[in-house]
Amino acid sequence: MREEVDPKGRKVDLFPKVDLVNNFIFNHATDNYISDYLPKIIDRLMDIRGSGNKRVRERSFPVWIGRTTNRLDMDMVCISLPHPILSRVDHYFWEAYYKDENYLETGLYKLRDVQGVPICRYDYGKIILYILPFENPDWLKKMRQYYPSEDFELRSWQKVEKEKKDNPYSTPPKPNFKADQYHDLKSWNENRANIIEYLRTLTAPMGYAKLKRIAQDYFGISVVNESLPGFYKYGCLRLSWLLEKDKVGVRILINKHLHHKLKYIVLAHEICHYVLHFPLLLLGQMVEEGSWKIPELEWYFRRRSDHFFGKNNYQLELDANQLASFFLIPAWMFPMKNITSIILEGGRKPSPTEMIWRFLQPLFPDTDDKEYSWVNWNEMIVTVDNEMHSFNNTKGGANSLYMSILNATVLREVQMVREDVSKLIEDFHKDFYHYYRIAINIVNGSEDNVDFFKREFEAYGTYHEDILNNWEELSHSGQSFGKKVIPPLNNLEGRQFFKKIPLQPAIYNPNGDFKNDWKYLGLGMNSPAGTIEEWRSNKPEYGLVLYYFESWQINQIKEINRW
Amino acid sequence: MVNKVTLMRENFLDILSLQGVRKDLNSKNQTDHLFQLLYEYTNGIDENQTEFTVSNNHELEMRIPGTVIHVQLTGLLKSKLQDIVAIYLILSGASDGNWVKLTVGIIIAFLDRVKKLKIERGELCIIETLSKTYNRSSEGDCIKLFGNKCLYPSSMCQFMKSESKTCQFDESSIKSTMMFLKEKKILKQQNAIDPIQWAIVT
Repeated sequence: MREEVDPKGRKVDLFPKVDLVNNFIFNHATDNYISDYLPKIIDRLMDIRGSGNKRVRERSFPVWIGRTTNRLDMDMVCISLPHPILSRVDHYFWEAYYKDENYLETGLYKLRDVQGVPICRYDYGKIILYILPFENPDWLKKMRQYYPSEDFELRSWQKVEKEKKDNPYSTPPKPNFKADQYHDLKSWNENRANIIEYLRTLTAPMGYAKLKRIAQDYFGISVVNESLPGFYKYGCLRLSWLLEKDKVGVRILINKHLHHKLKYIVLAHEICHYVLHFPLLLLGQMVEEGSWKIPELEWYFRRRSDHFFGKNNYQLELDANQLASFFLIPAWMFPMKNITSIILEGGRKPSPTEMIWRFLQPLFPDTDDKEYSWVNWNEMIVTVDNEMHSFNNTKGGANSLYMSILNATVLREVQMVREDVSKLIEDFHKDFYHYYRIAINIVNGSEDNVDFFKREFEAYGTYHEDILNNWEELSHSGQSFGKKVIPPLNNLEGRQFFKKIPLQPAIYNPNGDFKNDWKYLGLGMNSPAGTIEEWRSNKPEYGLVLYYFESWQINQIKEINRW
Repeated sequence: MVNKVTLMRENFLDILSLQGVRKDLNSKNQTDHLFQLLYEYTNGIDENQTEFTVSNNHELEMRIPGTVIHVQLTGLLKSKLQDIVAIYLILSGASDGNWVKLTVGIIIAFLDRVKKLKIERGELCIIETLSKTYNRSSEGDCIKLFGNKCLYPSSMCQFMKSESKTCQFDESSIKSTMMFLKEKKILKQQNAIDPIQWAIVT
């Protein structure tokens, strides 16, 4: 009951959301259905009050009444009791109702499907009738006439919007392997096989916190929430600096400002990038570090990458999304058509697409509180059709995280792109690695014809045009999260390519202030320190590439500085 | 590094500390529409707000092509965006499903009028509650408000019971206030006979 009374001074009973109720369903509803059926309820409550059994008599429970139509357009009245309820109490109702000429059936249904509202309550012998504060219904007068000696208490009622405790996740099995924190191609090969095998054992999605722990403890991948203002992505997968080492650390940055359900999906996606595309990532890291001395490498890598994988890496993204969908809908459920072929709903089999759509809804925050049942079944079917139609009509594919995952999962039913993408990556590696080795040999001095590398580019015939056409992109290519490129001080000719000095902020300059010290990446304490201007002035023919700290690094440094 | 925040369709409610609003948005399309309105508003402030950013070579990122809002999120701007979301919810709730017709201009114009309402006289609560009532009447508002926790307890509203901080806005006071708001052209009467139904003037 609510503390405060209603505007008419009546007590207010609070009703939290009720899911299933025990229903007695009658055919032939009229506009006066409450006047017609309320006496049937009150008579039963009076019987209960007169019961010799204390367990039956001494209790409190509400009764709902609703009017609804079914799919055969039958107009029905439903009298609903709470579920569960003592069977003897239930029996009082059933024994009287089953003999009624309009009685149809008894069953468990959702309260919203029968559109039930509270009409009365039995409260330890007292009978309470519910009316809203400004109502003066005819049925109330009739009840007073039918039961002149009964002192009904009048109350109003209020629905309580309880925060839905929604948990579509389950506890995952513990992996039976443990990968090292440092990865090379050999250890990755073993790790990816283990992860894919583990994915097969999943029976349900597990949620962000659990997947994060498993990634860190078993997959050898660190996961951090990135909170810096310039982080414009959902997430990304990064490696530690190679700097001529054999192995790298792998970490995933997740945008801190995402709902936990979306964090789960983004983390699954990035883990799948690791599983599927680690060699590409490793090559990219080599290119990043190689481009400090051979700037053309970066341009060439981008160009070939766009050629093989499309702008925005569409093929790679679809590949990762398809594998990530196994974290959302487990492997055992596919092919979905095997499941939908044995389901019949109202004379109709759902399509695999519709079934996939239904399974995905609880996993997204926008859709997790939407409930579908017989009342709004048609609305659900129309929504599925509209969403799939709108995806197919959107140029460039998905324009939201939800649509990209939905599309990838639906495609999984008909076609996994893995084989095609795997071939593409292999071809890309062969294409690029050949030139990468040449470039490294030039740097190491074992290739004495420096122009050889440039000639290889010119063999494509569009070397200069490409630079001019793509200069806008290239000139911004340094401006990305955590990275900034500064051209050389004496770049009077407007050279598009220049060698770069890689710098990181000094530990006592965690926020990367230009007027404070920066150090040569990888040299640590052995590096000279200087402001940006000092570094530029020291080597005016070199550009600078600045690698800012990520938020977890800043937090660690601040913690160390505190001590 | 420029100290700007990137609001995306999936995280703008979290960044604006409006996670609770999700349940008030009835569909994904409506969320898209609201985000688009915020984009139009912020674009009006800073036309260069969408910075060109390119992936790094050495990372595989998840980024969906689409509109983002890239702005310096000062306290003032955050508060303004929160106000826009609040007004959007009021107007879309009162629009009988026609929220697609809401534009930034309508929302800003209404926001200016709402700022003149007196919270301590319950005027804002009437507007906020109107879209959530079963028949958009004074009775409906009264049922929603009376006896429940005050929506603005710090405003010392004349209708707030100070001990329990609950609303005591009775039906006749709500009716009178609605007539007053009609004169101020905030509300319009939709029928002549009781129960009178009200709509928000946009």
